[in-house]
Amino acid sequence: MQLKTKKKAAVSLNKKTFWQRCCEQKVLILMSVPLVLLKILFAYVPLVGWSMAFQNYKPAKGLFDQQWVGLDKFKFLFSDNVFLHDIRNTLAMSVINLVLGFVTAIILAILLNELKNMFFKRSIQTISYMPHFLSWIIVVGIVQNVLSTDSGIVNDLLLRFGIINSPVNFLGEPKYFWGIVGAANVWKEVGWNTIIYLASMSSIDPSLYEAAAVDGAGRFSKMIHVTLPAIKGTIVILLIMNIGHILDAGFEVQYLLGSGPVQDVSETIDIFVLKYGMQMNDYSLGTAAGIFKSVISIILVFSANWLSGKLGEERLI
Amino acid sequence: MKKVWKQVIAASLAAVSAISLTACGGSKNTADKEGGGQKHFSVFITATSEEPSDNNKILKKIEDELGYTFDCEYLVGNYDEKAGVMIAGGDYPDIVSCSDNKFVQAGALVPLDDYITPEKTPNLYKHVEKYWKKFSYQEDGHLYVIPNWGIYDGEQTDGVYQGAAFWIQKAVLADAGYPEVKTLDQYFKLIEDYKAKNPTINGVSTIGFEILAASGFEWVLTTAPNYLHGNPNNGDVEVNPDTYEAKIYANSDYAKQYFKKLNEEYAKGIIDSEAFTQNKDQYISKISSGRVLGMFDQHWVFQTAESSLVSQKLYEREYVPLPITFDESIAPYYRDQPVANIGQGYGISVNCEDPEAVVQMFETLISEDWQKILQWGFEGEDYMVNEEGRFYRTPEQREQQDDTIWKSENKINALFDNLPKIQGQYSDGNGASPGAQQEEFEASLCDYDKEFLAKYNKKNWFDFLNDPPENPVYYPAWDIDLIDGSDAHYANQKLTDLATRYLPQLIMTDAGSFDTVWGQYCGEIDQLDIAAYEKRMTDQIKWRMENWQ
Repeated sequence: MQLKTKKKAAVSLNKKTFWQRCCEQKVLILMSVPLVLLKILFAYVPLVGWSMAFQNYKPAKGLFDQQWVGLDKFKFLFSDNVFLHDIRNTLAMSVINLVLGFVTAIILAILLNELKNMFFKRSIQTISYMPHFLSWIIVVGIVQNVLSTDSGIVNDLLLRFGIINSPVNFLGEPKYFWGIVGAANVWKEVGWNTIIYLASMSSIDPSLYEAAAVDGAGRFSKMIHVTLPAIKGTIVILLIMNIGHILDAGFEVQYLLGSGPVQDVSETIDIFVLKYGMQMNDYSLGTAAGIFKSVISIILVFSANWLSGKLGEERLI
Repeated sequence: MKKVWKQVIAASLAAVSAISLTACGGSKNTADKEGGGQKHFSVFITATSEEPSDNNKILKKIEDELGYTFDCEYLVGNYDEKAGVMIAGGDYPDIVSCSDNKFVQAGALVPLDDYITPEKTPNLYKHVEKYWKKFSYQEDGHLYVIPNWGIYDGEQTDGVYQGAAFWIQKAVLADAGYPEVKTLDQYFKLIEDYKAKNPTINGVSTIGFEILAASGFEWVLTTAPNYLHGNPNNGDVEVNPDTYEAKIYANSDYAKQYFKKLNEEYAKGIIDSEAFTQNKDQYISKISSGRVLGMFDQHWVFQTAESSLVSQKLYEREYVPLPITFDESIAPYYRDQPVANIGQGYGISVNCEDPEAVVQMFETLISEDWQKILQWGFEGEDYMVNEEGRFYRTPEQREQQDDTIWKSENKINALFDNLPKIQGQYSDGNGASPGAQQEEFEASLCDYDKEFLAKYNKKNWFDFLNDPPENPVYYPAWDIDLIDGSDAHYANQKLTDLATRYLPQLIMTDAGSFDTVWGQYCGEIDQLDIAAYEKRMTDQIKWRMENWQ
């Protein structure tokens, strides 16, 4: 009996403190209201548009005067070979970009970190992140020029060294496409991606290196046993965030670089949405594909987050 | 959780905004209303001709005398995508260029029946009256789009052919001694011989045969066999002249024959190896350099490249249209009698505040006085009139027409392209445009062209083509509206996708595996709902036969 009252008292006390806390923080809460409203307006209200996926949407009519078709659009989507290929392409290019992006950025960051000559280090850093500011249309133009069969530098070099006998049509061969997209992505983003790792490395306590040196660690051992473990947290957080984007394999680069012969490997879900939603005016089908993409992304982020927690690393949410 | 939503939505918004950045044109300065009605119009333009510059003299004259000003937005890339983005956002300029019924279906346009009447707009009414029924939207019988080309007053006298043909550089024909070219084999033989003799042109390697297959222009690749087989421009189908049944020819024997030929030529290095990965701009720039000996195309697609060749004075690198067929027993049917394009031209969007004003503007501009300004220019400045009242140009006036920069300052071709216009002759007997004035056309030819035509004993470039027979009543089938989202529409889109995927493979593969790839291609076509597509085409052709007589 006594115990029960005690518990009750504790509960009411807790409750009280919650409301009390609210009261105490009412200014803060008021301050956050506009932001929450903004969020609702821009992040949740547009979701009403998802109802298009369950309709046979025709532009001139209002959203609720449409003909409802249930899951027809989704059925069409998953019976369509092209869409299934698009999922495969999106995943493949995304994983390639993710892996290449991480590995190259981390390697470059570690190498830059080892540089002692500040002037040289800064120059390399600047040069390597400059391409980030180019838009894809320019990068694609450069890629097309470099890989051209007609006096492109790559074919020219390969021919001169006698590695090939006739120019290779890199952009017209499906087997090269994913690689080209991956390489273009690395070229464009590697420098930019190193920045966050370099920042995280700068916060490593120098005494760790000194201690390692005392223990007889060489340069490579220091990289592997001090630098890498120290930036592990950063790597994991970035990985979780990027996994949410795994179905955003990109749109522009595939759209601009793709062409008839490689469409089987170049089309991504975004291009599918554009093609059916915009070009063929089937907005419902486009929306259905978009919903599918969002749902998968959310599942992926939560799984990555859960996995990271299991592995004893930091969690994002 | 919220974070994820935000990212997902931001990403999709970014994707959409990336392609629609330019879509938000048309700030509506509903200008001064003094002259009655709207004077400032936003216009979406799809024409490929040079854009008028800000200091354009005709635009200035229109502004000074009529008070009209234009805010133009030009199409970049694929028309269907751009139209889809505009429709999705309901964000239309006042005046929209239409290439098909897309905007009409989306309810984006204002019906013009009440605006174009004999009382309010006598000129415009007279212009479209004869074809009213043909141009009206089939589903509701209203007229939405004012037709752009193909309504002739008097006879067709233009000297330049804009349609489909196998084009060949004049230099190739000249080098071979001005032969008559009738078949596909002869055509490629000429190109092979010339390329062997001239491995480079102006310092860059010669391209024997160029192919355009970029997004929105896939038909340049796919429709060639149709013409070689002696069929007119009916798009993706062959129409039986007796039963009016439409049938696709993508998997026909004659399509195979054509691609087999291209496969052989590719192996010989005649065809550009980058043909299928290039976009349209790259295609145009290759032609503009003068290194391309021949291609199959419709003239209006690469016309800007030819203007560029003229301005570089590379007259021998310009092209002649050839109506070739598989063998001489097949009568060519490239050139047709002029047909007015259905659903093509300017429409007035539902966002336009004052459709009446737009129609009145068209009415004013289609008057003979303004047509002369739009097509000939200013009297005394761009053309002269002789004692008999015939228009002509001095050599200097002709020469400036070759300068693309001059044209963007002194002509408004891009805007003019979709305007309703007079073609043929004016009431005073002068040709509607310099090209339609036979003596002016002849005088404007450069010496090279004069000599060239003399060698062939022909008067103009049209004479290289077949004599056009009377068009079938339903003609042309390519502009049949498939209805967005229908099975027919999907089948057609998938057919195009298959073509852009397999045809390059077919052409570039080694001769041994040609039949295997062809088999795969036909197998995939068989899996599509082609019957739905053919049925829609056949039904529409029959509908036209009944209603257009």
